[in-house]
Amino acid sequence: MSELPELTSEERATYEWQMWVPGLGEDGQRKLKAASVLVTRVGGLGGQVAYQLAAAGVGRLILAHAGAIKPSDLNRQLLMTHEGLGQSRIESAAKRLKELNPRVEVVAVPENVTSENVARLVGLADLVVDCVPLFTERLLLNEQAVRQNKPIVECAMYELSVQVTTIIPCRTACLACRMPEPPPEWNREFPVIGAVSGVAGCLGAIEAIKLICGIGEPLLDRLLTIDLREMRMQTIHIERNPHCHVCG
Amino acid sequence: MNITVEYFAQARMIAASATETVSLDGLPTLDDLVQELAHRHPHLASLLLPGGQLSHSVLFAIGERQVWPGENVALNDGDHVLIVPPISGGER
Repeated sequence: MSELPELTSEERATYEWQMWVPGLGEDGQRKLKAASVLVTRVGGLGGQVAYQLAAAGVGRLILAHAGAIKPSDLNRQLLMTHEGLGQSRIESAAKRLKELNPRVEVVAVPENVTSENVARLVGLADLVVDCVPLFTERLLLNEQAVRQNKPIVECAMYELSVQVTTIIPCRTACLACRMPEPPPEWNREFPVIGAVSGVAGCLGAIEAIKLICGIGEPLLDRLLTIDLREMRMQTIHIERNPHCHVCG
Repeated sequence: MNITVEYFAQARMIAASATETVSLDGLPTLDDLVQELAHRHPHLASLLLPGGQLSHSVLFAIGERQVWPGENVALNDGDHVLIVPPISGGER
């Protein structure tokens, strides 16, 4: 543990309650402080992931998100504000995270994931949390994370439904194992309540914290699905595809 | 035989129901079941059967175990089939 950063007395006071969690402790907190996490898009899903990871004391958050705040963002994108309408999403997100936890280093990238920047973005992090709307971006992130052997937490939402899974490259089913190509039918605008993206984002943050601290059982080879309309939760066993063009 | 189908996300919205019981004759397969679902709910066809084949981007599971498209898995009376379309984040 000597390579991990020490905690200051202020940090011990801030994170005291979570350091009481069995298995987390001071060592886990030091792992969080040493960690770099890439959160791609910080809207409804990713904003919640980033907020929870900042609160938990992750040392470095790399945030990637282009564009300006629109009125339709504000039912769920809690790092955005009415005051910021028309202004940069990523600047708003970085500002809110620093207000919550000034210790966190925020690397704010005003870009969405593309084939040109994906290797650089993934290379900056130990772990990727994928919250993007487009499957082309998701598959790019998946391929690059597999190439760089970085774990990915996949978070998704729709209406009152949530899906979360965690990928350890070449050990568990990757995104391309169960979705070799972007689905032919996908509308990037869909019904959703902000609290649903909050649930999905919190679950993604929990998975990231578990992976960083080495506690609990992450959703490896398991897709967690939650129907919040009926309050039904189940995990589906998913398998690696031996013919996967990314990790097979 | 009777099969219980459980829909998620877009499939649930199209079917306007979380679950449905389907009675099938003979020795049906998953493909037969999905064809029947598309017949009952025509808007499911493009989601579940693009080009007439089981979609590779929809997760089908029997019980809690994934079933690969193309396996044409045989169904048993009382099977619980999950239909989980792909979902992501959202932004205009």
